[in-house]
Amino acid sequence: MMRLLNRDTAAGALFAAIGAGGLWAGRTLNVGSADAMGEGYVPMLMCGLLLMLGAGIFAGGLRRAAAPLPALHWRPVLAVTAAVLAFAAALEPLGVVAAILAAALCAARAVRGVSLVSVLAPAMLLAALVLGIFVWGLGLPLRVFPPWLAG
Amino acid sequence: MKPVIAAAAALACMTPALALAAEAPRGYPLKPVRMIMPNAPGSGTDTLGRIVAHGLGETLGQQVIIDNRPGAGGTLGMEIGRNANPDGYTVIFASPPALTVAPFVQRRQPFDPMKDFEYITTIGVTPNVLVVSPSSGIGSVAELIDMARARKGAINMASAGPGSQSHLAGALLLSLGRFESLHVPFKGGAAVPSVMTGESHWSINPAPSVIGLLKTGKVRAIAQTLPKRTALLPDMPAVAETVPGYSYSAWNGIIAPRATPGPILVRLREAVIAVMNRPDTRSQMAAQATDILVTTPEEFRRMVQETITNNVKLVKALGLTAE
Amino acid sequence: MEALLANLLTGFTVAVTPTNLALCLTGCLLGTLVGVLPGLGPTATVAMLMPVTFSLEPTGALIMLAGVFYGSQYGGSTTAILVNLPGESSSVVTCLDGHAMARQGRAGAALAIAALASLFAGTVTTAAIALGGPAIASIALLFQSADYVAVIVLGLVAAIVLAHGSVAKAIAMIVLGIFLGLVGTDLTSGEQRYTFGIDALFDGVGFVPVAMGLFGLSEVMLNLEARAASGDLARLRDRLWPTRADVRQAAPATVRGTLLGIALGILPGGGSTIPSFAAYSLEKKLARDPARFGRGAVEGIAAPEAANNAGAQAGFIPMLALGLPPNAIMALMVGAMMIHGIQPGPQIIAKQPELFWGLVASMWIGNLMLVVLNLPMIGLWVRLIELPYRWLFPAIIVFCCIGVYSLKNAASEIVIMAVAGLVGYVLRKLDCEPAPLLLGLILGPMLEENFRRALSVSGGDFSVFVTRPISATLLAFSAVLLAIVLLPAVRRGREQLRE
Repeated sequence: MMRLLNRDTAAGALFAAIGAGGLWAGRTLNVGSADAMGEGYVPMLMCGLLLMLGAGIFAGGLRRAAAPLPALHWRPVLAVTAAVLAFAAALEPLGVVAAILAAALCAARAVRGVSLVSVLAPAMLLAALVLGIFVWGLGLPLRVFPPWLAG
Repeated sequence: MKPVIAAAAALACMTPALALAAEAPRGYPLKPVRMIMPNAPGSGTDTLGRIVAHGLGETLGQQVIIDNRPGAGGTLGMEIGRNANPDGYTVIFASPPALTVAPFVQRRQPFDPMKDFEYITTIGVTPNVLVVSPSSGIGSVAELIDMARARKGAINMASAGPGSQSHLAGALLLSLGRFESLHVPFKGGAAVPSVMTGESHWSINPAPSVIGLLKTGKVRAIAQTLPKRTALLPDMPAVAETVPGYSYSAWNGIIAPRATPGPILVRLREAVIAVMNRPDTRSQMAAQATDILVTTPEEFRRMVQETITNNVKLVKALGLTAE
Repeated sequence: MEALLANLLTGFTVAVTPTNLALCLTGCLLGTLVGVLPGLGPTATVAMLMPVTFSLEPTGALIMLAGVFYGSQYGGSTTAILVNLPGESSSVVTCLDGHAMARQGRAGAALAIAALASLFAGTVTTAAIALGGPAIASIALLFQSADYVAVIVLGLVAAIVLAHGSVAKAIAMIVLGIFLGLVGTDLTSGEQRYTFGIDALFDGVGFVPVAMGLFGLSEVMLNLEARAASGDLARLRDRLWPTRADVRQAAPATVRGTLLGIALGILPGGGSTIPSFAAYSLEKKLARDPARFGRGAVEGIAAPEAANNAGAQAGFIPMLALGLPPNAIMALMVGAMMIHGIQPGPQIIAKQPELFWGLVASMWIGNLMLVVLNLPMIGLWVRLIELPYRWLFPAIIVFCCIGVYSLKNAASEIVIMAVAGLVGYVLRKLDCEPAPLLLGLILGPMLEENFRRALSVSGGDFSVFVTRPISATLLAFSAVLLAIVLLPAVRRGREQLRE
């Protein structure tokens, strides 16, 4: 017996789910006709196609022995995502220096055995680099420090 | 936390405003001034804004940085402008689409054009130009109307997208001129090229994007949208000569977040007027087919109010409002 | 011919004055330095550096801006090769084999090939502009909506060809990309689609944050996972230059990429993206062993780099000759010209020959300078990625965030990048390549727009696509190409079944 879960069945199921989700989320869109297409015409077409392709890939994965699911390592994935999101959250209210610090602290969790304190110095160096290049060099309109510090 | 900061900012701004009734705070501006541009870099409005910002930087002795915040028809930039610290270091380059159309086509009104801003001055008025493809054989507004009536619906009007200046100006012409055309929306600047290829028959577009193309001979301008003829576009009749009462042109101006101190507004207004009087600004504006117009804040406010009334009427008639 | 030589002479007389040469060099240098920062593509770079040129006289200003443009484009390719970060749409393809070469310790060779292929493409395109600028430009005016649909379909078929895994997955990724491209305000009705009331989605999902997430962030995740943390990314420094075999393979690919780039680059909206994808696909089809592609094939860098440079430069043709900017960067250049009181259009060739020909000449000089400037810098770039990865990756993340933020000055773009990174990681784990999705994302909105418009103007009659000669030819070509791709896949599939 083939294993039910492999790279093809998983990808197929993912595509089909997105297609079905798109059809459902767009159910209120106006489809229209070929000479006066509504905003839903092409989306419905694409979601339908995605659903069919997904189903096809899934079925193919059941019939053939596709590569098994790879091992997923969530630690770096979550740490990198968290670092980006922390940067996004901190940038506008707190300024770019705080955002870099937050991102560096989150990113440090990606590698086992890196202490939080040890990333502070490289993070400050990075912040200085960013200030030099983007803020003073290119004049990007970035907030540097929190508003209550900037005066 | 936010209300506290806002209150502190308001206090900080009020104190000098009370102390120095007529003079700008000493040394203003002490740092670069940010000009929010709710349009994409490279757009016609952006070009006008860059001309003004460049001159303004020299006059104020501090750089004026263009901060492009396009998106959601200009709503994103206007909201950022409204929420900015009203300390005189943020101004907004205002134009009709972002200020008078976008807020009225969205499900929730994101800002109040009349209440959320201080008006400083307009800088100019840019006419739109009605172009037709030479292969269509149309030579005047009257001929366009005749042909459209004869070939019901088989005439295509290209626009820069629903709710754009180009669309609203065209819709106004359709309604006042009582004729029909198939609305064919394009993205960005592609409306005029489609007239050049002959796919669309006519289109109304901002003059700066059109005048350079006239000399190619692939597109013909038959009228402009100011109420009467202008020296900037000599030999070009006004649409109003054929369709009485027609007028649809764009003003541009400088506004600031509400509660920006009065003396700073006065200083900025003086600086903008000085820039607009410079000969190099005049020639650059003329190259953009833009007529320089400076107004008092009250006049500016009245113009905006009037534009809103007209545009809301059009937008409602076209069914562009969300519920 | 004589007139052409006289014109070029006029041009070079203007371009090689010490001031203009210095401006060209400064522009290239600044452009490269900003362009290597991930996320800051040519549009952002030109917009940022435009104020610097305001105080210059018009010809010098345009020469400098053109230099900034070329520099930033080359800088973008550098980042794509070194850290798999495409800062703009045309360097997505460069990532595929360029970064593969970098991983094998051949980053220097990849960078050199990219620079030389670009120089060749620039030279040929400059000659093409000088020879037939205005005549070539009017080709763009033959294209109506139905013809654009055909061009886009051709581009999408090209994306299927370039995938090296399953064809079905590649098609699904394209469709997913098109679907993502539909998010936002509908052009015709003004309705919101799939925005779920989020303001940041009203104008759709931006290309750059998605590209940086799918390629760049997921690459960082995979590297960390693979314990690349010790810094074994590009260790082999002995091979800094391309070998003779590399050059022999790259040369014909460069020529083909250049021609394709010029042909597709003059179309509005085409820019340099479709050419780079198309050139890569063409090479893969022509190669005796297509399996090398995606694993560091030299042609896979040379052809798309030549095509994107030729395409980008060919974009100057409609802008200068007709005043029609085919993409955002050219729109900015038009804006810059207008600020200097120059009205682009056919009259500038007659009225301001020194400006037109000076710009043409400085395009070539700019390309040459890029090579002169960048070949010595290759060693520096390569050394940069030899820093320990655990120091490098937080910097990559931060630079990506700032670059993406600067596009619209909106933090929401960073969030989109984070989501794209997560999705990219999962998709790559499932053997789904991100490149076709990106092409779908770029072309999807254009496809829908032109498809709807063509049918709206024809009154719902689908025959417009086959009655217009341009459209019919291109669609027939796409069909043949698709058949060539599908047939071996079908055959292989059956063979697998039999086993």
